[in-house]
Amino acid sequence: MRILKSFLPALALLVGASRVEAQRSSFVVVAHESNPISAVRSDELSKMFLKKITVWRTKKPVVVVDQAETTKIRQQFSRDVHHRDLQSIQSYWQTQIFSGRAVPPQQRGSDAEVMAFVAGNPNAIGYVSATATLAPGLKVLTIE
Amino acid sequence: MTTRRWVGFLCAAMTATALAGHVAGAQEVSLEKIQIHGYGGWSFGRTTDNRNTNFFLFAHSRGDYFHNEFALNVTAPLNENLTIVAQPFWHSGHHANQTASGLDYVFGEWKFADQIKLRVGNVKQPFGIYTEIFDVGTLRPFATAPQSIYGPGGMIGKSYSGIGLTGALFAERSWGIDYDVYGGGLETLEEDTPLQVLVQGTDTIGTAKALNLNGSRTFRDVIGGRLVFRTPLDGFSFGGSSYSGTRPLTRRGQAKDWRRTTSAVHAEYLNDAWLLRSEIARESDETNFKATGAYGEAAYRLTNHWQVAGTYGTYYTTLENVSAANIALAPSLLDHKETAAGLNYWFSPNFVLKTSYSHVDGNRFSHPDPMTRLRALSTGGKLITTTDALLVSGHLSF
Repeated sequence: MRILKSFLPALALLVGASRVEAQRSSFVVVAHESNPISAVRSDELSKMFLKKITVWRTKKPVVVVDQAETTKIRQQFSRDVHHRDLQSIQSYWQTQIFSGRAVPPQQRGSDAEVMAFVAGNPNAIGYVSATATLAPGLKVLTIE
Repeated sequence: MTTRRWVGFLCAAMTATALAGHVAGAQEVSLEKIQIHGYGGWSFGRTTDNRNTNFFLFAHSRGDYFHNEFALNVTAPLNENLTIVAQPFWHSGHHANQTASGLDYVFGEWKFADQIKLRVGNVKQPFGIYTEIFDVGTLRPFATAPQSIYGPGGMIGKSYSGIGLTGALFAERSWGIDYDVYGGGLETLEEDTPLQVLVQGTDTIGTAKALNLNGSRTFRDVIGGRLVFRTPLDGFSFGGSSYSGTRPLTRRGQAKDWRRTTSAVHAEYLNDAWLLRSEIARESDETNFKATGAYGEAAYRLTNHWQVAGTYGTYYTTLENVSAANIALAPSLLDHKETAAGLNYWFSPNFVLKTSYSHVDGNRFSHPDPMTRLRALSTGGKLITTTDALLVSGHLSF
């Protein structure tokens, strides 16, 4: 048990670190510029997008906006942040929905729509392509 | 509560939702936030021996094409704290009179915090792995949930009517706990005609009492709960569930509230390729029986589309206050052992075509039509105690 306890976090850290690197090159996580939070942990980010964590450290509610399932960036986010393929995440949401526990975050079909949503909601969080030009009223969150 | 009353409740809830959205206006409540999802499926089953009169799930010797189901899930978040959820369903069986519709559940949930949410209404029973997603074919590797626990042995309920608390503790940590506690009334999924046949035995042939073919039993004063432990190994969780309730009945000359208690432990591991699940449950009913069920289930995705699956399950009933002579008439009516293998093709996570082959030993869940043949064949020593069945099904969700 002791070996298991020490081994698992180390493995998770190793896998997580390499994937966060990949994430930095393909997309950025954005929040409203008024949000005092400037950085989130990768596992924290995953839990926010799975609605397992629903409040910011400031106790404000997290309003998540996801990219559409058909987009490449969504698949990349799923792989890099959740460490799962999109099919597994879709199964997760089916379980949540039909057991009456939660419904998936709202989705938007493009970077521009995601940025417009986040810019209009002080508690929102989303992600867009790293190459996208950031809209006014947004800031990029650092992934720890 | 009757279906009609639940439909009324649902209409009232939806009206309240619409009104809230209208009144709130610029608030966050809007039709855009109401989510509608659904699932459905079609299933075919055929036993492989034409002389075998057993029915297993939706399979029998002539083949059955007419099992269809569909359900809609409506989630209406009125505000940050209050959510109303409802799930109406429709399904059809082999006979025209097996068509049914109603509500799987409808309840309101008030969120105090992620750690504590109050649920009031008719809520899917939190028990084990599959109870809350019992009918959703895109969330399991076989056409049905494992019969050793989720079959009509009375171990699980459909949904409880009452009050519950649910929540997630330590969500920000690598270890975490999801919990549920609830109290109220509960309708179990139960078809116990094999046990009734053994209780009646040959003594009453000719003057035999009619068999109770009702597919459920109603329990009162139910208290139950479930704990699920999330672990640092992503996808691995384990937990335990238990509930206890009573039925007012006259048994062995005593009119009283007879208690039933069911407890289970479970473990599951899910990743992109593997699905591993196992559960053990124990049911104890004061009226006359105890039962133990267990299964192990594994599935592996060969590609994005192809998946292979295998399972083994067992369920055994001990009847009390029934003579050994009666039991000896057909001991296979107490037993169910099932081995199955399956091959699935996933067009997407929302649409799957499944085939499987099951070998069943025992007649607890695989037996002749209780209306006509079960008693005669059992007491005549002519039951066929094994059943092989081919199942084909398609499942969808959105």
